[in-house]
Amino acid sequence: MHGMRWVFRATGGFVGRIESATRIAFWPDEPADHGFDPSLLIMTDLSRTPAAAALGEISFDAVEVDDCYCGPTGDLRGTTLGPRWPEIQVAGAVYLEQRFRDRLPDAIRPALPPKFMSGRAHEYTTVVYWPNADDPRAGRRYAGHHAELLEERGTLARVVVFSPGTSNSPGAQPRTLWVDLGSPDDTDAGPHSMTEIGLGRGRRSGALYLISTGIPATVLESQNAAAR
Amino acid sequence: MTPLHIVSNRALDVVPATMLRAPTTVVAASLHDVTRALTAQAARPPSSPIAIDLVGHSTSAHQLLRLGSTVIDALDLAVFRFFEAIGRSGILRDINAVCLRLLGCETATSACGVRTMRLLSSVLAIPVYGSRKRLSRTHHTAQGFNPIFRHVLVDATGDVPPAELT
Repeated sequence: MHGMRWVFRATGGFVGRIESATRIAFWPDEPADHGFDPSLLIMTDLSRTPAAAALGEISFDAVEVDDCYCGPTGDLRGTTLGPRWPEIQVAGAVYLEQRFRDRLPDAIRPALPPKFMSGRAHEYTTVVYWPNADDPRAGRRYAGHHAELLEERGTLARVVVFSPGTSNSPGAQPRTLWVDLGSPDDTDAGPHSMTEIGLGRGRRSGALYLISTGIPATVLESQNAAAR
Repeated sequence: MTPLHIVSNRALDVVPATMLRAPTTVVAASLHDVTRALTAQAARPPSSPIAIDLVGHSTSAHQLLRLGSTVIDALDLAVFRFFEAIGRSGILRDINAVCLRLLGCETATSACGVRTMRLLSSVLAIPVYGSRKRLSRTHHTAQGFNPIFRHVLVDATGDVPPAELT
């Protein structure tokens, strides 16, 4: 759905060319496997992110990749190739915005799940709802997981959740937990939710988008101050 | 070297009271007080090289320094833009600042902490140091961070600051 959120699809990335502090070209697959073929490079601008859009530096439609951001334990999440020179990493993860990814020629559009990776497509997907929208999910990021529904009590559900990329791995060790499928504090509950299980949707196994992080409060405050 | 202390208003317990009373100490409620401290320093007569010390607790999960209500996370674009503007302004050259030190517990240990140090060093064009250990009041004297604990500080590559920067 256009005009409400950014959907990001993960791929691996190997930097093949650097054109400016933020503009790079990368290969989604191991370049040694195709002889470092320059025709397979994907050009993107690592500064075209949700945070930049929230700050008004680019339009919401111009977002190409997710931000690099701090994960819950201090690890790097999102587009870890970036965010900018000289911190550009030779290899890492790239989260391409869905519309940007769809515009890529078939020959270079990255596979989903990424090549040689296990799991399902939604385990490599995150969604960030546009800030300043009249939606409790505004400015929040949700991460796709594969989950199986065990029981429901109203909107509460007991689910088995797999770590991203492990749902079809023989040694997977999923966790069982209760989540409120009707709360945007837990999941992407609301209109056009990407969660597939529970709440009368008729599926007991499928995508579950759990709350992850969000656009930093400092960015949103800057945006609000600019609006005033 | 003279330190300029910018101490988080949420961490007044981690520095000696004598240090808090020093004329080169500013208590910060947010990142904006960093600008106030730098501007005040620029109004003073030219001094010997100074270290800008941001002092506070670090966040429990990420080990990022918290200055008042602001977490010093350079992956937060608003924070990054703030420091980028400081770097562009030339005020660090005016006040003879030679390094920035993020004096909170283990600020140089997490991946985000190290990335933050690299990004800040890049835009400020001065070395940025963090701590690889937990810090407490005993690491400070009335004059600021005690140089005998220099080995606790590292830059993003893991190098200890040279003696002249402590």
